Amino acid sequence: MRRACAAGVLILVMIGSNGCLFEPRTAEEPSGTELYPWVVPYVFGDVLRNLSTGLASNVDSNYQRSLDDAAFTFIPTDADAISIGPEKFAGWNKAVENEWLRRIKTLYLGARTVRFGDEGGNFTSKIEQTNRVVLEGEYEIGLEPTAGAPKEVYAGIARFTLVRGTQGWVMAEWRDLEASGTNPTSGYLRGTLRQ
Amino acid sequence: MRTSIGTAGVSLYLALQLLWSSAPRAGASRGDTTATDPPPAAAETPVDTAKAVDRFVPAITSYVTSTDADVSLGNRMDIETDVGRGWTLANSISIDRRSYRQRALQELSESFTNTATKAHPGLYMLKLNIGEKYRKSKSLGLGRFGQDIIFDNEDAGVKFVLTKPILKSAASRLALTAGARKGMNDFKFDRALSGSASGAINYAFGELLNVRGGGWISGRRETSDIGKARFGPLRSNADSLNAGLSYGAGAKKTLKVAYSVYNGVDRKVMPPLGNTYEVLNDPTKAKQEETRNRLEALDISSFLQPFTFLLLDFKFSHEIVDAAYKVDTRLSNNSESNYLDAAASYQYASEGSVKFTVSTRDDVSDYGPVSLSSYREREHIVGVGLSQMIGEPISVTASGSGALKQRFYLKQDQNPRDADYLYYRGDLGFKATTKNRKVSTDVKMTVDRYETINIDNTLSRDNRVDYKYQVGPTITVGPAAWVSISQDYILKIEYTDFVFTENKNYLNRTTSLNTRANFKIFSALRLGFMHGYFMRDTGSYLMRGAGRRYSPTNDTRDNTLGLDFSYEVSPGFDMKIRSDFSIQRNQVFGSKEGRKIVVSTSTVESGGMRAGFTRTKKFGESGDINLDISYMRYYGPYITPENREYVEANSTITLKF
Repeated sequence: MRRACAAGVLILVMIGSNGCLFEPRTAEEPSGTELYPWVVPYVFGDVLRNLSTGLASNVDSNYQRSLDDAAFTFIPTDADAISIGPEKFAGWNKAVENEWLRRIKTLYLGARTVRFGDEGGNFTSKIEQTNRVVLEGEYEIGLEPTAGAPKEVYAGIARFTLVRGTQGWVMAEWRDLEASGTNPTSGYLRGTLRQ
Repeated sequence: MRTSIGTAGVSLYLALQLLWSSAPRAGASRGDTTATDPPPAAAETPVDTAKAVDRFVPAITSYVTSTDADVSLGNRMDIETDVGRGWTLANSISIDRRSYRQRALQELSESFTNTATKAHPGLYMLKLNIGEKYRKSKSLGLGRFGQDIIFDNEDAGVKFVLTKPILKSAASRLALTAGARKGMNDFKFDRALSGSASGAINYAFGELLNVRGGGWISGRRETSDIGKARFGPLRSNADSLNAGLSYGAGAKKTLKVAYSVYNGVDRKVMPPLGNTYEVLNDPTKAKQEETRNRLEALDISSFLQPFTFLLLDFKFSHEIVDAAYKVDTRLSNNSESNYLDAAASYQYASEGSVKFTVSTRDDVSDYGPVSLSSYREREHIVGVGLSQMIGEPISVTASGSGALKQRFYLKQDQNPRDADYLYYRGDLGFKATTKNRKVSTDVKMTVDRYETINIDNTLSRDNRVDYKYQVGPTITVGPAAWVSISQDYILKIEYTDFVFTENKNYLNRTTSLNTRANFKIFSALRLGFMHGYFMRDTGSYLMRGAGRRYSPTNDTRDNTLGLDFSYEVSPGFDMKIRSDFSIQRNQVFGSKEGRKIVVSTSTVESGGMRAGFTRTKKFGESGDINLDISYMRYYGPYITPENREYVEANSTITLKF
């Protein structure tokens, strides 16, 4: 029993030894001002706003905090899965989306925008329940490789499932349904940039 | 499709011919055995006798699936025919139609496959197949709205496998395959020929040492037509070699080493930027992609048990992945990964053990000389876990782990996104049961701390620590054989603490309490009652005056009542009714003249009912019926008419002749 207690103490020491077990690097004091404030997602529309500012901003937290920790997934169109390969979309979860976001921000250093719904922000279908909303409609992602450079447009029709989790509303699923016009889809953007 | 149906007809005819003549032929074949033929294995005779009863086995399965999103109807017919002399024919045809409730959209799938297999255990296996798959769906895309998207492919193939050990090996496998395919794949019509050869050999030295090796090569030649434009022939090929050895007895070997290398070139026609619409308008825009892949992997693992109370595990892996794309160059990448993991389990007493783990990983992801995305990542993880029984009815488990992940971008000057991630987690569990087993309890506690540290000053305002604390006790009481009552309680507190930008800090608390009571009134009648209470409040956690103050901004309380009723009418026939009712009250807080006020309150009432039955019945070897049909009705705000009332079904009927 004493040995069990000793082992338990060892565990507690390890848990409590914040900063002793590992030595991370020291961060620099921040510079500049925050252009994209976080909106606490009391209503589901706030999730779309935080995703938009999270993509535009150089910092990632608005986008990352808008995704469901456990359930977030992305599902491509059949055409993208065949074109790029289903293995590029396998097990797409929040960690994969975060890596994809970081890659986007290293490739597109100019303006980054995302629009959910048509130009008026409307969706073709909206199913609302108390803790779950399913939106279906257009989206458009615009990315400038450098500031002022011609914008790359990724667009399509998708179904967005938003749920109310323990930290407010979050996105649980982004399912691409179709391409829109001649633009490549978000699935193409995701699949080709998966690390 | 007509080709396949014709082929199926011929194979079915041959099967029936062979079937009717199989008994005399079987007798003749036994009588024809000469002294030079190997004698049939002793086990083969009874198997042949048993199979004579089931030489021709057709099975038909029909199914209906209905959910809140779609309705599917399908039918499938499988025919298995044992035609004797080791030959087996398998024919399958299926059709499935899916309709969506929310949209005017239907999908139709058909498949048709025929397989002929001749197996000679311990010597060889020959397999021939021919089939067709068809799928049609409507496009929703703005450019092709309402148009059909069709995939329709016919394929045929042959596979020969020599399973008899060669070169005095313990086991070996040599295989040759060849195949042909043609068909429409949405925007293009493909014709392809393919083939492969593979071999694997295994040597055993005594009972402890095992050495294996193998390799394969494959090739494909494909032509694609898009409108009047023809691309190809496009040639693809790949080859692979692997080798390995293991030393030791049992499933966990003392030492295992495995090495493999793969090289391949893949060429195919694809639409530009993945968009089919553009290539349909102008086929010349199709891209001819060429991908060169190389993969090399080395895995070493070791398992030792020097004493009965000590186990040691060790793993090392090294992997190099190289993918070079000719057109979509940003898909190209080169990565190298090294991973080392060691674990020691020490059983310090018969009732308790402790386990220590250490692992480290070092990866480099390189996207080419001009990319800013290339980075190196290192990760170190340390963990310890404890399990202790305190007498028979009480057990305690505890575990803790810590991890540091560091990312270093190779072009830090142009891309200052270096970051460290520090993670700690602790778990504590406690289980106890009274000696009479009438009361049991289970308590789980978890602490999580995840810190994001961006190094550069342009990103460090995003630095934060995410905390999560969770306590979840459960108690179950069973005072009599016909009743059990359980209650589980979860308290979860999550908050994010921004290091430099405190105005982002906010906190979430979630409290839930569930009470369940289950009554078994008669052996066939069960009644379940559930009450759930859920409370969540959210607010900011900002520095004000003397210290941090919590200011709630939002509060949700939800009470749910549920009732479950089930009655077993007869074995395999159950009636079930379930209903629930929920009241949710939301409050939004604000402040007026320094005092907290309720800005708005909303109450949402919702609920639903499910009434249905399940019926399962087997007809011996002749088939079975599985019916699960329920009528669903929901009420509350925001429910579409399609989801307000519908029938949910998941039913199959299978008949074998």
